[in-house]
Amino acid sequence: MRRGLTNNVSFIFILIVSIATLFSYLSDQLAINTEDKLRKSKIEYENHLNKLYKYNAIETFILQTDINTGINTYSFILKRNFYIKQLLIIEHEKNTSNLLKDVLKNEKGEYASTSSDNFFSKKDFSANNIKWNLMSEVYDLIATIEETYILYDLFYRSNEKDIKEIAKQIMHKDLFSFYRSESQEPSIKKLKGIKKTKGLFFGSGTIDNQYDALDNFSIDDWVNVYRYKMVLLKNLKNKSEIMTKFSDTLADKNLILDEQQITLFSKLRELNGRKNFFILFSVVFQVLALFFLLLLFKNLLKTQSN
Amino acid sequence: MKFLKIALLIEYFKVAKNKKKALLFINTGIFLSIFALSSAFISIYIENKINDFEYEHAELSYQKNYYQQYHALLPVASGALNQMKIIQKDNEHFSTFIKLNPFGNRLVSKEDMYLPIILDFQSDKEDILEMIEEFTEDMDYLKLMLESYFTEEDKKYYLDMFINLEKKFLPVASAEELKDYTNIIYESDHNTLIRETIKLDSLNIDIGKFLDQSHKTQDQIEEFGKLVYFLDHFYVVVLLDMKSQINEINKKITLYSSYENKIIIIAFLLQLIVFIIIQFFEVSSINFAKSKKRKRSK
Repeated sequence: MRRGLTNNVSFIFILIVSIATLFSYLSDQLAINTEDKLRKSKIEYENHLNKLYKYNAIETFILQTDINTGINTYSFILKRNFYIKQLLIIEHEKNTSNLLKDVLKNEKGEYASTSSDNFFSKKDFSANNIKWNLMSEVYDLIATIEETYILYDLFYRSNEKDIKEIAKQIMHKDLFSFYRSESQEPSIKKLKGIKKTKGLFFGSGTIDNQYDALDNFSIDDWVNVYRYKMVLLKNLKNKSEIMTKFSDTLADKNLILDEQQITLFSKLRELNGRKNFFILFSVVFQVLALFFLLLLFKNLLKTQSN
Repeated sequence: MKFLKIALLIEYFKVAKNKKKALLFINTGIFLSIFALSSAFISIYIENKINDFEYEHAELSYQKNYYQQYHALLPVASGALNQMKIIQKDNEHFSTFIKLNPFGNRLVSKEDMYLPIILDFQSDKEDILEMIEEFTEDMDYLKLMLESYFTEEDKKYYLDMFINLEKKFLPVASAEELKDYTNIIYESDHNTLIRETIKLDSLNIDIGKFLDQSHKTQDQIEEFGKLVYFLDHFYVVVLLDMKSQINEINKKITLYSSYENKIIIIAFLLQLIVFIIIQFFEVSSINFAKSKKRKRSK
């Protein structure tokens, strides 16, 4: 009472001011702490979204590549036997008796007339055209696979970490390299006369080899070229299936990521609400401290007036 | 270190001429602190509301992006489907034409003409069946969804489509047959190919199982085209709905922001009026006490 604080009300006001200041400080610290958590959660959420967008982009790339590969190979598949059958029919005409003996042995059924004499004025010239067409078709197929290979290689290198994270065992770097000359793909390696066939499409002397093939390749060699084309197509189909499998795994992962995104988003929302709440409390307690300080002054003023 | 010396303050208040001034300052302080309190509550209430809207906005935008991404794939799928149909038709027309002469007739077999489309579509049908199942497993929900997004006419059309859809995608070939077809397409050797060029059963493309399976497959492709069209329509409507929802939220955010300023100004004015009234009475009471004191001292 020595300093003029003559009543209990002043003491109560001082007590309230000190408690309110303390709470304000506490709320301030909690707000800072929550802001820190919020910042970390935001970074986590952004990283998660980036991952999700990246996975979606990977999925889109794979789906589009799969669709494009499907369409590109479809016309090859439809015309797959067109040239080889032409060659076989011509060859058949030359060696009717031997071939028929081999092929039709022990078989029953009706068969078409085998004569095609009226359709080729210059049989050898026509056969050469067909052989060119067959080689050109294989060449086009290799070019189509190469395009896919280049696109995929670029895609793989830029997304390697994510692809390995998604399904390392399904997709690998060399998925579309089976067509390359140095490839050790077993289904290609075991083909009959593969060295001779590859000589038509790879290496320095391909043009000479192609001209040479027109004169010197037997019908079996041309069937080997056809088989090479079909194995390439089958490999492309298999790789496409691998991509579909990868895409399915990715879709499953995306579902999990989506669920996690919802959880992270809720956490972010909750933290933001909590932060606002603490800021409000800090401000409210600060203002309350000030308010009661003013009430204290007013009380002091009143006391002095009396 | 002392910022405030209570004793000095009390001494200051003891001086009579300071009292009126001090009271004015204290009351102004009280008024401002009450105003600050109310503004803080108003702001936090409105900010929380806006915050909720912003999160709703972010969530919807995310979903919209997600749908947009899948919607963007539909033209690719639809284009591929059309391309496949065109390639198939072209090939059929060309094959039919070259089969008009005996040599051409031997070039194209049933296997060449029909197996690729059967194998290609029937092997990849699982995803389509899954999609149909997702839509049709809860028919009530499907009806509700169609009612919400489509006109009466479209709703009826799509509902009819979904009711019979699963039946339309029944397997055309068994797994064993598909395995055989894969072998015929990819593993044909010299002898198989020659046989195809002469065997009438292979060369007659107008009858047989392959023709029948190919027609059924083409019908299923047509049906799938309708499903893709529905998905396109569905995504367009859903995306439009989301866009309008986002616009609504944007409007609400702007509206609540303007509310915040207006409410604070109104609160300020109301409190100012209360402050002036209190101030008037307090100053009057001091003046009254002073005059009373003066009278007593006389």
